[in-house]
Amino acid sequence: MGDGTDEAEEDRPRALVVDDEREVADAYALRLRGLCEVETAYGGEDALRAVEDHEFDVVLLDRHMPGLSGDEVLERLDEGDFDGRVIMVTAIDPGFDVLDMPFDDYLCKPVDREDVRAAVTHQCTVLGYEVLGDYFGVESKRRVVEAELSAEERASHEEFGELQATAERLERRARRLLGDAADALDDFDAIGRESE
Amino acid sequence: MTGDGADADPIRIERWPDPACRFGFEDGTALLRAVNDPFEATFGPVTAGQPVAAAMADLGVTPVSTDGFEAVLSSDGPVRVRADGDAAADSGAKRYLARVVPSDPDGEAVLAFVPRPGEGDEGSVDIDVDHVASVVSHDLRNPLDVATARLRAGRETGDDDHFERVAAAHDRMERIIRDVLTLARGRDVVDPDETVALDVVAEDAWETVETADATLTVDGSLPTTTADADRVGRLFENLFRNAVEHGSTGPDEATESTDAVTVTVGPLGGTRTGFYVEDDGPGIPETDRERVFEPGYSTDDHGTGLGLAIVARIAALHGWSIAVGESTSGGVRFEVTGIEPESP
Repeated sequence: MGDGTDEAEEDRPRALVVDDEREVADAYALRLRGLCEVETAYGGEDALRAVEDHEFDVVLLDRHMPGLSGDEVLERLDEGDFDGRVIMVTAIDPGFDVLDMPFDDYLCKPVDREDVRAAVTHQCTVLGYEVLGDYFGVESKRRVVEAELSAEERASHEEFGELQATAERLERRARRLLGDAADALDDFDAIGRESE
Repeated sequence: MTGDGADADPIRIERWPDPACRFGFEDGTALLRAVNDPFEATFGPVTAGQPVAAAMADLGVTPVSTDGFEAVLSSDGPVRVRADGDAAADSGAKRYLARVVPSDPDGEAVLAFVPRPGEGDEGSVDIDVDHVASVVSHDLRNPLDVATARLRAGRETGDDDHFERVAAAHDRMERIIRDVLTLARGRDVVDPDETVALDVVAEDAWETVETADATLTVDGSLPTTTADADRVGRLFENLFRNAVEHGSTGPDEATESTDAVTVTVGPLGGTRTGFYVEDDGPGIPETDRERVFEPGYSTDDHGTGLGLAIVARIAALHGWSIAVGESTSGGVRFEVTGIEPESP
């Protein structure tokens, strides 16, 4: 992943840091600077609102918070249609209770800058390939339809329009998550799909 | 002494650096099987085969908060014991944590002692070591984390703001340490030698608490007395924080902040000298009131459960009494009494 200096803001992964202690949330945002676009939420409710309003790739989630706890936020994210990755960042030493928790990674405070950055990068890569897989599924449909049917027919087909928008969204997301590693996109282009 | 089945015995009392003994059960009675050298050196000589409880009683080793030594043997966790026998007096250490470690399936077990540091237990509070450990590790981790991140950012950018935040994080760590010491140590942490106007301290304390939309009303003038201004400030802070955090019905309601709590401080009427701190929140159920001053008591899993224990401790070290009840509006009312007024 590039250091981001020459990339536009929306070309970087988007992370949400959730901690009821502002100082702590801000400190983690600081650690992720240059790696991703970071927003902060100072409570569970704020976090859920933020996730509804924007697309986030990675959520860094504190466990103990007054009101809606991190564990509850995690459950809601899991039940809802949040499709990013969740890293618990917490001062609570994990017990057997973590076995049932649907997180993707777990960091115990205090966390080194390098470790939190590596964990976020790692989750972005995993998510990036997931998104890439989804993209290939959608894009292959789009391409074969495009090759077979005229522009006029396609323009009047609602579902095809949606497919096209989804493909574009997925491609953008895969590129911002994988950065330079998105080479697979070029390989995908090189595959011949229609009979000659 | 039993044959030393070394393989079946994961705990070798001979290797334990502090007093330890091995015991087994016969007809439901715990009988002493073996002791290590530190045991005899510290507590005195014993004979194998004696009931453990009787042997410990002879040696003057008694649990602090329960009656018989049998309670120590059946406890799952560590139990505080005192050693008052002659041998113990010579060896210096008097206070131990005793813990039973099951050793083999036949019911044989080891009773291990760990010396507790710090003599002079007058005034020290019954605070669970595990709990202190979790407070120290949990609460210190956040400011430590902040300090580390800000220090690095400060070094990289030279921006003073980052260093300010490092300093603030250090202040917070110092406060946490002082709180734990206030609970765990004796009188030397509290130094009541200043003339203190309690209403000034209360108002200053309010400023340091994140009070959101809550308001403080000072209803009448509080006494001026001899006290430790810093610790009394802490007493007010913790009472206020308790009122603000538990006084509102919770932040998750859609109707944000329509129920901001009002905290009132005022002098006690009549012949009693002292003050009260009350709020108009939901109050504490009568059955829980006894427990609010216990270290570790917390109604949510966010708090450390030490706030009110510290309040009680600071009051006690000033010779004051504190009681909890219900305010006229159904909220919580704390009353601190026994304050000797002093003319300012």
